[in-house]
Amino acid sequence: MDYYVAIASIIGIHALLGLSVYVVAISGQMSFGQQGFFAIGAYLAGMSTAMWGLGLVPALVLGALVAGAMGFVVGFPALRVRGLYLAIATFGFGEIVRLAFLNVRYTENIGGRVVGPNGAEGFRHVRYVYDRGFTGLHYLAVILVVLVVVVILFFLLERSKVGAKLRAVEEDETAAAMIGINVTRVKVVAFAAAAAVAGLGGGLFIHYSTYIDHDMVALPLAIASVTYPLLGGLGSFVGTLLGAIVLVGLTEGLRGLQGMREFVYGGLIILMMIFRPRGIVDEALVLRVKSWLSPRAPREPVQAP
Amino acid sequence: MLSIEGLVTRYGNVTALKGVSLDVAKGEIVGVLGPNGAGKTTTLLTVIGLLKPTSGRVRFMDRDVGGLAPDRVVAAGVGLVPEGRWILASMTVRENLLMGAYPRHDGEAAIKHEIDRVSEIFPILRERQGQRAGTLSGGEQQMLAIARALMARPKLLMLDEPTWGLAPLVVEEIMRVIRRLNEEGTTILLVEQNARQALAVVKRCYVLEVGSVIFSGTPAELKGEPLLTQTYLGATAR
Repeated sequence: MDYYVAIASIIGIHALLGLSVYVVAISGQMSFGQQGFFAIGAYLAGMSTAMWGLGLVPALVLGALVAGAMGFVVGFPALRVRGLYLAIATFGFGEIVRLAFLNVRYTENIGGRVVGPNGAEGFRHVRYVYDRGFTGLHYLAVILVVLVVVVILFFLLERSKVGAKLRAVEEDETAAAMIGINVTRVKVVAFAAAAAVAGLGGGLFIHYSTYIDHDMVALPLAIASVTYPLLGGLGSFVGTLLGAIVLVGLTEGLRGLQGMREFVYGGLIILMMIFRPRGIVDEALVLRVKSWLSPRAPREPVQAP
Repeated sequence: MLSIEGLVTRYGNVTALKGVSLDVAKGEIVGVLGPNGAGKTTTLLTVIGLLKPTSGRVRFMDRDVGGLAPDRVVAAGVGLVPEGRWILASMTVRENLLMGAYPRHDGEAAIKHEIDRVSEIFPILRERQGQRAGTLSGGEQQMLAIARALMARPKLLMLDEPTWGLAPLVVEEIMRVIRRLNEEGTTILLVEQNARQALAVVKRCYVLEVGSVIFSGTPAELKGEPLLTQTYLGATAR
């Protein structure tokens, strides 16, 4: 049971990180640096509860806000470049954050334990949740509540003006500019919001694992976070959720295969690329579902008189 | 309404506009003609703000808009139907129209009303509302591009080769709509290579050649210039 709770918790946390990449992706960009915001959120939320005596909710909010603010600051210069260049720039940012936490020492001795970011040893003993008698199942509920709140916000976002602007910018920046959309503002706001979501995931993570170090926010996490929305499909945020469930589920579910695991995992990814190159939930699927849901919109084009 | 003075725009070290000046008064319908590479599209893109002028002035309704970002120029009341349409292909027709209304801040009802208005101008768009814009025919996409620009209720509508690559019947319909929009009060700046079509609609025109204005006047006056007529209308035009 604990095992499944743990998997579900990881899926929830990684889903937030994937959603963070998704927001950047629907504004037409690809970021390999969201793990940097994840790290910022994790360290800040961890310090808030373990060292500064804050509660869990203010700690998570603070982590998300600081990560979001960093996203805003980084967004302006980073979003001047596109495509591969942006991928490199954002990954560079993620590495800067990682190396910063590799070197930061800010510890206190609390009850005989060294608490706080401690360079290469990482940040240990963020035990706020478990010290207050939460079980893994309780904390899973917290993660899911946060995820549901974020998902509701995403749902509203996709139906809002802002969501539509994001899609227009994704599809064609020049066309979007020509119909009067402030492309820079849309991209920077999206980037900041994405960073905040990643920071929230980081805050949840450190309280789940009680521990984080620089190695946990390195390249593999960047690749995983980009894979969720890409495998899930960029048609809707639902794809990212599915991507996280499938990928984390596969990673765990295939453990029984031992040495063959990576082969099967890789093979499944290749099959995905062949059969659903735009991801599980692609734009075409979203349009089809939309037309089922709204019977008023004509499904077949009406013939011209 | 629109006044351009000595506009110079460069692409790197290629000077595309070498001091273009032109005026469009309120309610007018003005054409810009000229061969490929004359600077017609560059002029429009500089006005809308996608290109930054090196020098010169762009004034719109007594405001300096030269060098402003496109969203500010659109908000000021300039609409552009770009060459090649630039519709948002994966969005539905209706979504494209809604996107066109985003510079506006006057509420859902006004925007619905606007959709009804453009659907009345282009009835085909009403039938195609839920369809992905990328699946429309070329003529329908052009109509959508015009309708989308109208959604922002521009005071000045600039059209860049709206009939390019379209069937003759569709060309006629687009031209009819342009004339109608002008009669209903929208000021129009029409860029066309299809000079014959344009001259039938516009009241005044400019001819550009390699970045400079080489003629300005009425279509009748243009017909009195044998060399220009020969170059742009073909030798047989009368």
